[in-house]
Amino acid sequence: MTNSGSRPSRREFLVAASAVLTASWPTIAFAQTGPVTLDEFMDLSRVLTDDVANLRDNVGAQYQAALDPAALLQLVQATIRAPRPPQTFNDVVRAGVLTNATNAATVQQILTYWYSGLVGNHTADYLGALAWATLGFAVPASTKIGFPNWERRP
Amino acid sequence: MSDVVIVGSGVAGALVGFTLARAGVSVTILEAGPRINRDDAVNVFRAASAKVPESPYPNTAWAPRPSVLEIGIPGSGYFVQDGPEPFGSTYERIVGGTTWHWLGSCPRLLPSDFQMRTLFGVGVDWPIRYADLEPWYVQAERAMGVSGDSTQDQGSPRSAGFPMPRVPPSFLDSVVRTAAARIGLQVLSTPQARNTETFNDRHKCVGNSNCIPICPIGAKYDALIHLDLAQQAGAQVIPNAVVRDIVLSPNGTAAGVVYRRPDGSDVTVLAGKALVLAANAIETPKLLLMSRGGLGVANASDQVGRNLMDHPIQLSWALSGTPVFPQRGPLSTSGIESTRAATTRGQLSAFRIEVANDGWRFPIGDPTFEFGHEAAGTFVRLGEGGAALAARWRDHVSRELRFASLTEQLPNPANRVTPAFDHVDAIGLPRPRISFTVGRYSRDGMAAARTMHERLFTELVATERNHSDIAFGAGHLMGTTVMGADPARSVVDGEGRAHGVRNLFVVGSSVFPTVGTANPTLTLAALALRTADVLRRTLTQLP
Repeated sequence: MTNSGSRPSRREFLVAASAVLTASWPTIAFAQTGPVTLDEFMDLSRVLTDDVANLRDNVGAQYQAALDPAALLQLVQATIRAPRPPQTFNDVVRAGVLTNATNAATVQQILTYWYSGLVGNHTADYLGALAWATLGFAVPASTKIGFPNWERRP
Repeated sequence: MSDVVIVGSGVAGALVGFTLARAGVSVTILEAGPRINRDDAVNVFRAASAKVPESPYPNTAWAPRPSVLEIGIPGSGYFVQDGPEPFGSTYERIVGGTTWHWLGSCPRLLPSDFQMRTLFGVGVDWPIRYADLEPWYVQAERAMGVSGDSTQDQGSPRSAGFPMPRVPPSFLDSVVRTAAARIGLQVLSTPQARNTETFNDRHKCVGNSNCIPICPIGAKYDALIHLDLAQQAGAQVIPNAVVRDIVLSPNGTAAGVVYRRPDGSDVTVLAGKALVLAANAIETPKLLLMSRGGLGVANASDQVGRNLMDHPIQLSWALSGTPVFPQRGPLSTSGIESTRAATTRGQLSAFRIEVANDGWRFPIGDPTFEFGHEAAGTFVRLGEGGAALAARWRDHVSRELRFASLTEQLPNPANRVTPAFDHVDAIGLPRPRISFTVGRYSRDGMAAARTMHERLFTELVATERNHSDIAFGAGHLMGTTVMGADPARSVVDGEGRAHGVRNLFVVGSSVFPTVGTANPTLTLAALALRTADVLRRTLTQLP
């Protein structure tokens, strides 16, 4: 009979620790090779855009869903899941990630999504599309905010 | 029964309806399409994958409409295009008509535009002169709320100033103005039906840069303004009423119309005094020709549907050597007008150069399309991203230039609209069959415009120069029920009254005998007000 209030024996500790390790190891391995999460995709997107504008999760989810999962996984493995994840687009370039043609094409597609706001024939986001958000001197058409000083150089 | 039944709720129908209703005349306005909620339409525009003029508006089964996405694709779309070239302009069939997505530019015709045969030996003369229409131009500018620079000479003498100060020229305009001056061209402020101050309880323009396809705040004039005023004065507006037949009385006058509902049922509306057709240069002749079982109305001259005209556009775009910062303000605030009165008229078309603030939206699409358009590919280069991509994109857009020159197309009887009885829509009504060719006169004018654009690009140190080989439609539907003094060669007289049917009137740009180079809305509005005045004064003598 074991007293629940007593300290575990060394053997009990080793057995328990072993059980925890056995249970947790596959989980860690899964996180490194399993499907890309939305958080990872958004982190990757912020790196690829140098965080030039606010990126919204619900929009990113649509872009992620439209990508080839295998190609995206390969890119994430090489970037967000790398031992030293890149912080900027230039970090991605310096790490040699884009020398792989698949990675380069996937990056181009991700950026095209964020700038266009389009997924195929569907508009995921118009007012937040980076094609407008990165201009600085104009606002998206139809905003009702307008740009009343059009006669001046911005 | 109403005294006056008006078919069509665009600017011409709305102005006539308001003028008569305000005078105590009972008026019914029939519109083929539905009413539109502005905020809903803005949301539809934002969600649309292709940001074209028609994007915010419904293409209903009972009132289908053409779309620029279908122009030139054989066998597609609302038009039955018989060629040899596709007709490139479109319109809306909704309450308010195409004023929902017009640009708002309001230049007047030149005095010489009314005398093409006499002065240049081409086309025909109008049965009226500029001086006849000038007072009505003033009335139209006041009704619509036109902003302009009264001190500038646009070639069209004025008896009154503009109701509002000019729309400020854009920064882009100032860059182009400096470059144009070096080659002897003057860039002038474009008169436009767009508020520069609170006018008739409507907000001033704040530069949403979305006049086409939809002004989100209603700072640009649209026909809803006069439809609302007409209703306040007692007029009735019936949407989703597709007029399919003009009913004649035994004495040959117009007795009313039959319209078809979306469910296929027919309703007869009697016109006690007069019938006014205001359904644009495609739908008006189609209705006249399909009436009476296809025998037609007011077509003793065989001119109904003929002489379809547009302002075929020479479109050119490039990147300026220095930033011009487009995508701000109304889509166009200035133009080059001196080319409208070129001494070469008679040999080739004159043209009006529209200086655009909307970057490459006309030739390429919305800025988002430069990344997502399948044909154009993506702006993103392989291996490019981050802040460098954003900087290259910003620099690119900041230098986007676009010129569009509107040429004058001559009347050609072979350019024609007829009802396609063998191609019916969802409620069994014929679609418009269109035979069309741009013609040598306009093509030569386009070539001259292209040369002028190229000279401007050179002065602007522009790169990536593009000149379209396609004659783009201007969205200006003109001709097909032309006015004239000779009943054998025209459809209506100088007041818009149909030859042979004395209580049937036609308003809109379908009555233009020739088209000049001015965007047509102000002229058609002036003519509509003039016809409305004739109706008001003579109504007791009708039918």
